[in-house]
Amino acid sequence: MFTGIDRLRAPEGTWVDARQADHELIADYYACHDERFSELHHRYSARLEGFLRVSGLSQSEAEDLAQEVWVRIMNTKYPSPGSRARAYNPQAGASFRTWLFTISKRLLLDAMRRQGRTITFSTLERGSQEEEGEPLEASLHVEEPSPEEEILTRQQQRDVHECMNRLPPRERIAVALWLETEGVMTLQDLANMLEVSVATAHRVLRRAFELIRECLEQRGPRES
Amino acid sequence: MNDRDVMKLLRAVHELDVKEHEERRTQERAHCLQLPRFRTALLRGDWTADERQHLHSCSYCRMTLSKVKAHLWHPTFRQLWHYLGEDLGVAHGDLSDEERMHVGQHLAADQCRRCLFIVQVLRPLAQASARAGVVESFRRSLPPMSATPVPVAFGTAGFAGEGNETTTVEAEEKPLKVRLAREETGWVIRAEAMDLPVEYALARFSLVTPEGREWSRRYAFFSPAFDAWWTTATRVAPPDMAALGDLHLVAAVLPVESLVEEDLHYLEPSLAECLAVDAQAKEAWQRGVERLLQIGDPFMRATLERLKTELT
Repeated sequence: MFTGIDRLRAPEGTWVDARQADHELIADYYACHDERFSELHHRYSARLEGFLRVSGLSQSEAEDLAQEVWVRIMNTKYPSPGSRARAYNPQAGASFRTWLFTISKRLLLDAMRRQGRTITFSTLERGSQEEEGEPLEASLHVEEPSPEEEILTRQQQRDVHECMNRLPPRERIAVALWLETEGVMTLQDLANMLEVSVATAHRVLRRAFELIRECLEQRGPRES
Repeated sequence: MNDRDVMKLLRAVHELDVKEHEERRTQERAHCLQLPRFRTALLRGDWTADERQHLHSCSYCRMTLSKVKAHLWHPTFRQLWHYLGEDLGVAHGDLSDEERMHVGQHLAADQCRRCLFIVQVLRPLAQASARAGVVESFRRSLPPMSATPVPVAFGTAGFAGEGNETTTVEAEEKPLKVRLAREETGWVIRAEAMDLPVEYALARFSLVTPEGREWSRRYAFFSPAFDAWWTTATRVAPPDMAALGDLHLVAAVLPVESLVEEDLHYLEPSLAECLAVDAQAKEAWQRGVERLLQIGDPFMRATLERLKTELT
């Protein structure tokens, strides 16, 4: 954790800039600085496990799958002949974070499929721009919560967890992806990660927010 | 409550969750090994005492180890053979540019002890084959081989030098399958191969240290078993040896003609260890020694005659 600290000591004893961008860290790792990979791992480890947990895995399943993701990402530096793994390329347009969570989502769906839980976003495709309900804004950005809003009660935290757990798996994964990208991505980004059209991504997310709102309202207002 | 309120609340709760999770993880995993270290140590076998101690007590790191192990890539024997061929100037075009680059990196940059040792075993054979000067025969001369992809101790979640160790490990690359197991009489290697050409009836089993040194070498002649199957067995360590820890098992089926003077030192101890665990060994060795006497160099004769006497 390096909130408020500009520099920190990396595992190998070297100094690294805590604000170094993700794409620079992975580029340094590819250029033989293993400690930079550890920095990325440290930066996203809890978020990745959180995403997998929110998406419906148990704690131990989430830890297990998160490690699988990291090992695969580590190995993109060492591709073997015939391997499909490709190194991260910022020129391809996606941020490192989007790339990381796209890989995670694919492995998550594979894991769920092995458990007999098939989740297909594309079944929602209708080949049209048909929308349901009020349109969300093109940008899914929401401002940082204010200090007052950050003072959440444990009860509110539990309510949100409970309502998230009640979401159908598809909606839950869509919200988990949106959350893990810190609300800075667009509908197009989300659609790319889910590998569906913008209209479908919109429909899934819209439904998810509606279900959560209904669930929270049923549980009644909470004192903060 | 509108969409924006829901989104803000979700984000606030999520940030709190992440913060709590990060704090917990930072405490729980403060002493865990860095991920790239697993890969390097698995390839180079240079685990420190502290790392071993930590792995023994940390289930999270053991899980990581097993994942890194599962994704570890080694060149095939064919790739190593053709790489050597190119190095010796007898084979060209058998490896793609991509393969050549990856094999080179694996040996030079990664310094994989296992594959460096395999190259060491293959080099004299490749040199002999290269001397014959026929490219086509070089391509066909690669002997059947099998080798554990990771040290014996990592055959399961166990770890070198600790309790509840790995007691069985297998390696297979067709047509050779090798199994190392702790039996009543000791640590025994049993091998089976299919469709062996007669001239390839001699197995060399090596246990290799993380530093790339050969800790033990045994020779064993194959016996025909059934149909096209051939089998052989030998003991490599006494039963009181608790674990074979960091050692790699490398097995190669060699042409008997490849034996040189240095190998003779290993033949007598190998015979004793084969007879101890393999009922077919006596007949197989008699056949093998007889063949060696026919084709072997004169300097081998004294040793081979002694072996022949022992066998009768």
